Amino acid sequence: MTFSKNKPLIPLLLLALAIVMPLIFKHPYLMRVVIMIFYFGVTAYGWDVIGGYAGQVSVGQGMFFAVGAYSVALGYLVSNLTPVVGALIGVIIAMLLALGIGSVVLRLRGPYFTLSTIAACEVVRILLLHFKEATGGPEGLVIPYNGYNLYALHFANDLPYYYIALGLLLVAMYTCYRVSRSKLGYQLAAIRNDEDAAKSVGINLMKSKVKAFMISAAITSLAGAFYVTYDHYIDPFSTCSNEMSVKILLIAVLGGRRSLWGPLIGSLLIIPLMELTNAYLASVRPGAAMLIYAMVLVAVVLYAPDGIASVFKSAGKEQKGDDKLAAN
Amino acid sequence: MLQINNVSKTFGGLKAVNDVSMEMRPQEIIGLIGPNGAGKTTLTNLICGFHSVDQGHIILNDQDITNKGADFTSKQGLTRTFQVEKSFKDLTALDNIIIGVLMHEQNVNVAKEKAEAIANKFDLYKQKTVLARNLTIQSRKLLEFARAYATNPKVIILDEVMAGLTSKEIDEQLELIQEIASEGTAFLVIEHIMHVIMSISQRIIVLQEGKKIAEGTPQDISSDPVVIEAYLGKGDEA
Amino acid sequence: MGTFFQTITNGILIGGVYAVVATGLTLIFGVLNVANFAQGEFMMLGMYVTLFLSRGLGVDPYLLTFLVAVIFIAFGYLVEKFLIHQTLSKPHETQMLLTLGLAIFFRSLMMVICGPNYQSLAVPYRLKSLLIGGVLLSYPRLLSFLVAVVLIILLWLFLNYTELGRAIRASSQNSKAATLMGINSNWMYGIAFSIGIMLAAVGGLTLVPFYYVFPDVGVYFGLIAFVVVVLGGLGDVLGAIVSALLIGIIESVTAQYVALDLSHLGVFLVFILVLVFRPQGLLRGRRSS
Ligand SMILES: Nc1ncnc2c1ncn2[C@@H]1O[C@H](COP(=O)(O)OP(=O)(O)O)[C@@H](O)[C@H]1O
Ligand SMILES: [Mg+2]
Repeated sequence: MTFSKNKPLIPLLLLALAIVMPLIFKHPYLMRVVIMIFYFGVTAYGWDVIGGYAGQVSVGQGMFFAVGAYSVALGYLVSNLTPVVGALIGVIIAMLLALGIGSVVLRLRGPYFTLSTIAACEVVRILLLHFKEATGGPEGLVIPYNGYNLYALHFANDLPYYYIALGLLLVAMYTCYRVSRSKLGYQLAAIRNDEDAAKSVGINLMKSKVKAFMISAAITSLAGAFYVTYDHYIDPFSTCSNEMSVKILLIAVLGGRRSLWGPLIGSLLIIPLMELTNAYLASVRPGAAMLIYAMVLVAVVLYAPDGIASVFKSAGKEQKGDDKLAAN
Repeated sequence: MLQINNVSKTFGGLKAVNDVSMEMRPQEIIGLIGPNGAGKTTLTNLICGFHSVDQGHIILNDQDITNKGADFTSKQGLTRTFQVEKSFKDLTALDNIIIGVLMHEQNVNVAKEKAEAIANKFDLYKQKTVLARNLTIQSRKLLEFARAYATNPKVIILDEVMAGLTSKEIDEQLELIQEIASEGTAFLVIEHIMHVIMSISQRIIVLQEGKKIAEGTPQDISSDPVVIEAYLGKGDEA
Repeated sequence: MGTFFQTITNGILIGGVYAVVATGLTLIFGVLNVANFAQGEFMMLGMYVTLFLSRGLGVDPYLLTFLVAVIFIAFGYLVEKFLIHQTLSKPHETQMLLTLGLAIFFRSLMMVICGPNYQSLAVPYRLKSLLIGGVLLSYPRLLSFLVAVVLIILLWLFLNYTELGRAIRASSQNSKAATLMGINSNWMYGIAFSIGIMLAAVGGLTLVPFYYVFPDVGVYFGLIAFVVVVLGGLGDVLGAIVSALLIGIIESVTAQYVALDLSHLGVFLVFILVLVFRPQGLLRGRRSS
């Protein structure tokens, strides 16, 4: 299930399909859902770097998503910056935030990191809500849409957004893939397995974990940057919340940690389900969608800890040792 | 090359290592013996930076590396295996070795090639795609040795790697140690099997209750009355 | 000056609830070595159950303490036996994801059953208070604090003067010790977890007469419980109590003197400062190996 040399065909076919599909099926709602699948997929790949490869469960990714989104929105509204520049600024701020939080709490073992990510996300939201003049407080920010404007990345229909989101997804996937096959990837695998042994081969635990957290933050903030560009609207509750952070984690864990396709599979399964339940159940029973995910999450944790991707994987041919690093 | 000067470590009132000094030269193979609880593993932890020392200094090639942390110490060329083996269980044998090689190698593909050669040298080639958790405990210890060797160290401390091996396997491993030592690496070998230690070590250090009670050639040690009294006399000669 | 004492008093009173919930968390952590990310949600469930029972039976919530405690001891035992226990031998990650999944499950379950609205219980003494030395002690807050104190004293007696309690304490220091005392550790895991859950639920109960009940109410309390446990030292019940009161005070001082909407921020800032400057305090006691 990787870009292995012997069968690059399937990924290429999928990619071709992804490129051609929106040209054939012009269904606005469906396209909207697929775009969501893509950018939530991006967040899940972002999560996998720190939560999967580094084995440090983050429940605060919403803050990086918000950092990306607010950087684009404020950059545009305050300084008339194009979202492209706004996104780059967002990436830098998100990485600095990850560096700051990471260098404090990644030193500690166990659940402290998870806790601190929850707390940090709360802090960022409290700040976003408090500094109303800049952030719009609970009302959030609206980016006025005045028709097609390439500089502002405003388009008349969703097709360009579709390709931007697809591009971001590929970037996220490729980054994840490269990380898993890189020296950093091996170091993270070592740390995940045994911290003492990792030290005995000269691995600086802090450095590697912080690096992973920064990469994770950067990827996630890109998704946020895209989100606000696409939706023209942002508020603290829908981005920088525990719910958002949990959703990101869910997608990655359900799909399968530390696997090339896992986060995408997770997004493919969860986002449509979320849309369906939102469309048909939300008005009747808010929370129904989350209830379903929670049950699936508990079941996956207990019975398929490697996620749904592993179910496909074990159905396929026996794994090569070579793939193990990425798979485990 | 490596100098241990008067190091001590106390665990809540217990002097696990008490004012121990020693020296190691390149290519040297030193045996470290002593009854259970004598402080051998703790001394290893101190030398390699896994525990901070309370007193004393550890100097490698004129550089003071005391309390600099295990990752730093390993990077300076001092590495070890663990008595309670710590291989990377969810990774293949080859990946375990690759991680060792990567300490001084940036390119993963080059590391892979080097790791294959090391797997060969340690007779782990056939198991290279097996997950460490599925190896026997003896193979895992050997794998740890290979991983330590892969970091291209100046000193390797082997903490009871030979426990549970057949005598043929022990002979093979002794040969391997001697071969690697002849390439320039020094060894500190902790082992309970007395004839193994006697046959391989150029020098032997005896610890008892955290203190160094004797040091000398195997012959000196085996005839030292203090050692016989404290240790050999208790019938460990197997 | 009057405002100042009032602020401190309010902090201490809410600190009692934090202490109860956090003590439960630290007990579970100590014995099972599981970080229970659903602690706040068990508290939330305790609030709803109290609300329903109190409305249904027409009984004052504080009189339901024993009943709610029994219900949640049973519930906690089942959750441990059928879910948590399955993951005890697995990596920490797994247990964390499981309790996180449970947290989301309970939150959304209550959302589905009751909707997102804030509910509250009208008790006749809701707005009554006692005036002592210029400081107002609101009746429900005072009662909540008293229940918390009684609960903690009972827990302390249990942990120190019963064989089971001593075994639990021993096992939170060293799991082998308990086995040596001849206590079945599987059973003890169940007991420790259910007591921990009971503490969360009863902590929730004491809030009902003066706090809103809604599905997400446990998120902040769960987080506070962790902050308290971390500040107080893991597995350290006395430390948890002291730091719970401290957190209550910090929160109420921030709300009074900085800004109401930043009261949570004050707590998290202290948490982060402790992480930066006193990490050894966090590691004290357990889990250094
Ligand atoms: N981390 C530790 N904490 C407390 N005591 C320890 C620790 N490590 C070792 N000890 C104690 O130090 C003494 C020496 O142990 P060790 O170095 O393992 O001896 P050896 O390897 O020679 O058998 C023993 O009494 C042991 O119980
Ligand atoms: Mg030992």
